[in-house]
Amino acid sequence: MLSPMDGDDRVRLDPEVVDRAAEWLVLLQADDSDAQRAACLAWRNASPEHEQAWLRLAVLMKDLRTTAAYSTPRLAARTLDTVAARQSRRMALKWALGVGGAGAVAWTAIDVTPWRTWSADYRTAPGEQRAIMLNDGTHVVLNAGSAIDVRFGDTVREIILRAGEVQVTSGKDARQRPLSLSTSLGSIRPIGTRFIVRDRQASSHDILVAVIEGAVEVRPRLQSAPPTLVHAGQQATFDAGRVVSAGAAPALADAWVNGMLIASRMRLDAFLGELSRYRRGVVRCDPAIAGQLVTGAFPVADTDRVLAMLESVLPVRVVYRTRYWVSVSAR
Amino acid sequence: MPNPEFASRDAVHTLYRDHHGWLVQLLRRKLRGNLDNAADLAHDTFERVMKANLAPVLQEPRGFLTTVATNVLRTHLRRNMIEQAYLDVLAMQPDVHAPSPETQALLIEALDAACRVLDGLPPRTRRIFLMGQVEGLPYKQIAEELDVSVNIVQKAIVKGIRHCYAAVYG
Repeated sequence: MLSPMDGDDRVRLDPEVVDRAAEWLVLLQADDSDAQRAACLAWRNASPEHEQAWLRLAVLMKDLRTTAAYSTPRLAARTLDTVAARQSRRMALKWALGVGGAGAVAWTAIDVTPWRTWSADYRTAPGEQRAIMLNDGTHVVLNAGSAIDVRFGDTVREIILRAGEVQVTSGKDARQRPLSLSTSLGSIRPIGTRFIVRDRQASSHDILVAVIEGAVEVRPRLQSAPPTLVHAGQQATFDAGRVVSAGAAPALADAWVNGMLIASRMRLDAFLGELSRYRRGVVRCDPAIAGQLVTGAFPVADTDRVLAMLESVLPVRVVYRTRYWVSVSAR
Repeated sequence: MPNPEFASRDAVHTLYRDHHGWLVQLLRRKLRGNLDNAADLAHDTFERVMKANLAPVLQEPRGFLTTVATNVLRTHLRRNMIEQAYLDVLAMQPDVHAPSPETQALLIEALDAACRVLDGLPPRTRRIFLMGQVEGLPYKQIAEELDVSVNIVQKAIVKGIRHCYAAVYG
């Protein structure tokens, strides 16, 4: 129900193909004539990708209408609209009232799905960065595509990283409550410090912590052993069960805070993966050139310029199929 | 050689015996004193732990139980909110009867899934999309009701479809 279809291979489809499928769906809804149906069928038959996009959308829309099947179409539609409207009012109220509130309020704060971004207190879109100051002086910078909740209570100041990457500079609390940053895999407790936490969901799910100043204690959620201490200049990676690796942090781990992406002999495919966090849409890398190495400092605010820079320093060609669909291939 | 199935069942029994009372109290605090709900949610939590088959290998049972219980609690509160919205909307349509409790449970679950997928759509786009795709109104009627062009309606519905697709397929 409202998840990828059974038997679907979950392959990434060309966004333009999905756009066309959506347009066909709408065209058929507006005009159900034989001629229109035939034209749509011709488009679907033109390629397996067309058909797959069509089926995904058709099943998705059918799933959505299940809500109507259990009640009435009108009731279902209005309920969904009401829920969404109430949620955004609640979020607006939280922002208006500022951060914080009693610990008890945090636990009865409803409609928060664990570790999802859909109702985070603060979030950034792809390509957006944001700095906020909490009322105890703690300074948080959110990188692109990130989301946090803030729960300050009687005994603890808690920041919950729901997605993405943040840099935290802890402020000194007048009430001397410890500061804690929670992630889905474990918590991080700073000791007068500045550090970066990134929730990574690539081939496996882990959390990367890099310490800029001071030190932090890392507690994987399922680990009962004493916490791991990570010092300035060091970084550690952990999953739910344990600290997976620890070592020196790269020299400019916090470059993104100043709007820069630093690469030092980074594979092109990895570099494009990082770059795509700062723009909407897809950046595809031709496997033939994926191993090309990138070195330099690149401004994340202007990803188009970064792509142009790549063309001038590497034997690659950047093709814009649409604004959101970029492919990088050998020149 | 002990039967692994029995080992797992024993582990759950032990977990329950050692931690059920504590969990009910924890949930009761979080639900501000509601004992019935706390007992139900504690039950749901243990059910989930049983299904996950992790009882024999838990090093920190209370930590793990708290995580699962928090998840269960959040789902419960979220669905309460959805149910409330549904009842409010129902109250404004005097000619419609409330569904049976079984159907209502299925409905709330379906609405919950739908809400996640819709999250992030701007209000007007969302409204047009819901009127078209869930309520099933003809585009001309949506255009008249909202005082916009049919072109706008079509664009909003395409946008809504793309948004839902992105939520599910990335």
